[in-house]
Amino acid sequence: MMLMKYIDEYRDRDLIMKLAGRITASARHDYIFMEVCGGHTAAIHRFGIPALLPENIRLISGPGCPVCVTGTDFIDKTVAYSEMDDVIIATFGDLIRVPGSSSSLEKQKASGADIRIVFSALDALGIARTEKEKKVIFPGIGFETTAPGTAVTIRQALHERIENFFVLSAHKVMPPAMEAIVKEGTSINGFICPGHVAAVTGSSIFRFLPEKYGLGCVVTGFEPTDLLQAILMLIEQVNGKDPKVEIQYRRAVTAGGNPLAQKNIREVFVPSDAYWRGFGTIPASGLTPGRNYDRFDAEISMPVKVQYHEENEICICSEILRGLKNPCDCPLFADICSPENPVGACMVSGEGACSTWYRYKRER
Amino acid sequence: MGFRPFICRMAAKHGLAGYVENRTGGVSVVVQGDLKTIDRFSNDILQLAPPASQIKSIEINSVSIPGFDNFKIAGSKTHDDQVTEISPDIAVCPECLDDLENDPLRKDYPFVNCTNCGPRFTIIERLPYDRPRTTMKSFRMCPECKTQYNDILDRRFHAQPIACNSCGPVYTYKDHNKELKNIAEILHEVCAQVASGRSVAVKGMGGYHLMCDAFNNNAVSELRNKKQRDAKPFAVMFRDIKAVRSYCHIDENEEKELSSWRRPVVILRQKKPLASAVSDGLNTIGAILPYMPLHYMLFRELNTPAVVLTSGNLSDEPVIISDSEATRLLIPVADSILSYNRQILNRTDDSVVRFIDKKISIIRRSRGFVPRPVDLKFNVEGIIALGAEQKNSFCIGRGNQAVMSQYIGDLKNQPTFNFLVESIDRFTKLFRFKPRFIACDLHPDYLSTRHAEALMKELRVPLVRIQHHHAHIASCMAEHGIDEEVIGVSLDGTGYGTDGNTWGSEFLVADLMKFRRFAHFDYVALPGGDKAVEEPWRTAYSYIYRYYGDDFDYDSMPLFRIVEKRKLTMVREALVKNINAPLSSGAGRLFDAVSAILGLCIVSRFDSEAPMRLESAISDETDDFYPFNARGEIVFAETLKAVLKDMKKQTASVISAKFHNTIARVILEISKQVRKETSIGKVVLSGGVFQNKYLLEKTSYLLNHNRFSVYTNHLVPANDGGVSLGQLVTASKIVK
Amino acid sequence: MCLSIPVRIISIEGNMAEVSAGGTIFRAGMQMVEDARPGDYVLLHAGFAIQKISAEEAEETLRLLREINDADEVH
Repeated sequence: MMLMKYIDEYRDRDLIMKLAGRITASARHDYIFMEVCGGHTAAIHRFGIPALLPENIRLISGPGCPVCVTGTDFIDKTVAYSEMDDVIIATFGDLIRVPGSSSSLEKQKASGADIRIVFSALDALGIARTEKEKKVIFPGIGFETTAPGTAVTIRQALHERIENFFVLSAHKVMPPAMEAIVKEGTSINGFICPGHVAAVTGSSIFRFLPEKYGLGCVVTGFEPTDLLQAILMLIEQVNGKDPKVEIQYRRAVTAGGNPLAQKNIREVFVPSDAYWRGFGTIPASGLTPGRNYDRFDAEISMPVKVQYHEENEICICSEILRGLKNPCDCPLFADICSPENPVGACMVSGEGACSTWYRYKRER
Repeated sequence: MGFRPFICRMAAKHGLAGYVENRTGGVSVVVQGDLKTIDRFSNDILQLAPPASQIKSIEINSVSIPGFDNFKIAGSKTHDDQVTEISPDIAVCPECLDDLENDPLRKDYPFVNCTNCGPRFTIIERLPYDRPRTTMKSFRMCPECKTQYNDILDRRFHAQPIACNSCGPVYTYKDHNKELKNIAEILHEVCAQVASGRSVAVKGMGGYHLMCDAFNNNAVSELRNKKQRDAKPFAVMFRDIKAVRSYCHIDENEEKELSSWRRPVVILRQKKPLASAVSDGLNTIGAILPYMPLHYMLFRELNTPAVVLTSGNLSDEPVIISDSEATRLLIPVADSILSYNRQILNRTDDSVVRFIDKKISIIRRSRGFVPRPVDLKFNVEGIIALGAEQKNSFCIGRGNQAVMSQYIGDLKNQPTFNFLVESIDRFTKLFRFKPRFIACDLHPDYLSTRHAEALMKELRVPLVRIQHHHAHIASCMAEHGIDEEVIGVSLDGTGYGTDGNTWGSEFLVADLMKFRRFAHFDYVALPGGDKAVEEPWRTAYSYIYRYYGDDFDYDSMPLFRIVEKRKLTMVREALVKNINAPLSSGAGRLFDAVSAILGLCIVSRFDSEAPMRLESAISDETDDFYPFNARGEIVFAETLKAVLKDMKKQTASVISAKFHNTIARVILEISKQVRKETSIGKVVLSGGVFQNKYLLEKTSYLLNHNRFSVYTNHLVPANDGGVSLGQLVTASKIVK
Repeated sequence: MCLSIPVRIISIEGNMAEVSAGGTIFRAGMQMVEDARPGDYVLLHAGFAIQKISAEEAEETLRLLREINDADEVH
């Protein structure tokens, strides 16, 4: 296999072991660090990071998986759209199997609905371009990493005067949810901050954490050495009682981020109240198309109403997303709820805590 | 307000030829030049626009038309630019304050202004906005001013109120034994008066103020007595933001608003005490910063860091704007009067705002806001809505905009009613408004209703009557562009219900056109009607009597031991025999009752005093709440029982917090019930009770936590001052 | 979907680029990255290049990590 630059160098076994040793030596107290990125959840368990750490360091997963934090009503709306004759749902693959209150896109597809998997919003726009008689709906999920792509696509649609392309937005921004976790009262000592969100937004969006709450932050990459170096940096911040925002992932992240990407978000989207599983509605935590672009908003152009359902009571996804419980604490884990038959979103999504635990760490 | 001159200056800066003109829906700028320069030009527009301008969006298109030699302001082609033409009044800008010190033409000129600041709405007679049509018409520009007025690069280019020490208005000071015309002497004398504990009547921008030292308790108390408004908190003007920070808790949003060009009064939590008579026991201060050049000049010499600056009026009447009336009515109250020789045409009170959940909540919408319209998503042309009774404002529809009037006041006396009629007249002329429909409150006796009926006959146009609480919900929906069914929670003291009863705790399933009453607090009898509102102990008695009857030891309650036995008997009689004890489901009344029970307010000396003191009492943090019954009518029997029990061991602070938490829980519970039935997830909170910061924050938190989206008023008041907007939008849906 | 991977730019045409991740070729929208050239590395996410990867910073990170490595060896 070809050498993957910017990946393989950061997986050097020697470096990893040395870093682990250095961490053990520096870990004088008890530490709890939370990561809020599905990619980090997956990487941490895939590379067996917890096994490399001493017992007094605990890593917990927060609401970093955009699929997991999206409410069932989003799936229900997408399902409702898929039942319309002239609608094509063009969606990212991770949404296909997420259970709604009575169906899922996968089940709808099996019943004959036109549902296609795309890897990019641009692909969805492409479908709209060719299938002029149909309405193409793109369910937009993802954080600040993904939202700019949707924004660029919407602008492209406006530019080409495409009338049959719509976005059902569940895009969200991270800081309000991080603040919600902290405000509830927390024993977290610091955050492993999402590296790819920060590549777009810049690391400055996390400043409120040390400034307002005295919590340390390190913006981290996704390779094992990245994670270990970040943990070391966090330990040093806690030891030195010096909380701040530091960038470990220097090769992709700066304080200011990518201004072009930010400009696209600002141009197309406005903040809206959004529902986060486990938190309720967090004001100004979502992104929906603003005034000049609201005809691309499926909720405005083709509103659909769905029945309100309370979330499944036994499923503890909400507590897992808040870092209060682990997947193994859930009575349904690896029993009724598995990747083949998921009950909650945490099990469906490739980055969900539950599905990650299932794949790498099935201890009960 | 200086936007077109600003564009001129920008065009000159970048060497672009073309023109700027007002069009319906915005300003049109045509420039000729290379793309890069035009790009820099439009960037500059965004970055450097005058503070009071509101750029909503910029669209750039290329057009083919013949070329230009220069840049000019084109004459207005249509009259539809009306609404955007009249700017709200703008506080004096830093550049003008600098001129006050350094500009030879305007050194110590107490009316210094420019295209970016100064009086606007208060002095305008008619459109278009030109000097001869403002009250500056009696002041002829001197040659120097004229030169600046015509110089495209001067900050005073086309500044209609431009003037200076030799040609502008002047201040005069008068007291019992002297009259002064020299500004330096005037300042000196006024400061001396304030320092010696006396009050001065000061002619402000939108009306007269009464001023005294905020640290001199005697001065403040005496002012209170003379104003005949015993207990209402006074607004306090602080020297600068540093002084505010010393005496009040203030966060960055509050600071930003306080210092903004609108310069409203911002309600802040008190940190250090002023004279006790200022807030009279409440833990908040209404703080305002200087906004007229005179204020700055006074504070140069005043020793005190803060003065009381309350409206110059006598109890419940509109603030005085006429100099003769001021001399007649205010001299008895104040010891001296400071006025100037330019007329105030459009009476405008200081605005009052508060921050709840980090967002602005307007309590009184006036100077700095009026007549900026509220943008709507649909057409409301030709509709005029007359509002309700308390804190009245009216609203006219122009295209897709709702133009709210300034704060009119409580429509309970002749002078306030006259002000309403006069303002409607003025707005009609100012905005060239042609009324096609009238909307008013359902209440048959409001003076606004009566006037609406008179207008209907006079103008021969249809009249629609909108239920009070529906209008509250609609006002909030209009602000947020919501045009679908919502869960509407409207809590206030009183509003006429469709069944002829007094409503005030309404849980509605509503859209902009109609509503269904889903739930409400149970009705309670108010012995003595309005008297019960003025004397909350009566309402307390009524609630207890309703839930306990005669099985209660009324003597055991300190509240009832204070009241005359004779009065208690009368009240009981009224309840038993149902004489002069009208029913009300007003949420405000429950707050009154609890406030009285806790001994915080037995007799109200001003509107909403009882609930304000109840909120002010909270200094503990707790999530506990009392039991309640919310199946069908919402009954507080268990709640009151628990409150009375708690009184034996808990402080008023804790009980008040738990009571507020209970109301928040009731709202959550009913919202859940509605959602279960209808799947509606949007909750709209409006009505005077939601000016209560603790309640609104707690309720929003609980609702958000339970997956509801919450909407509250930010552009117009949640109190009855916002009702006219709701009436307007509802009427527009009905008449279609 | 949330995965972002470092990829090398093979060619650019208008707003779109062909990029390679260890030999696998993808297409990426370049609307958010200015002045990128074939041979540069970018982060690919959901069909878009969202940021350039800085070769200097990458080298610097590795250098720091190796320093930790060496520092330990002295102990």
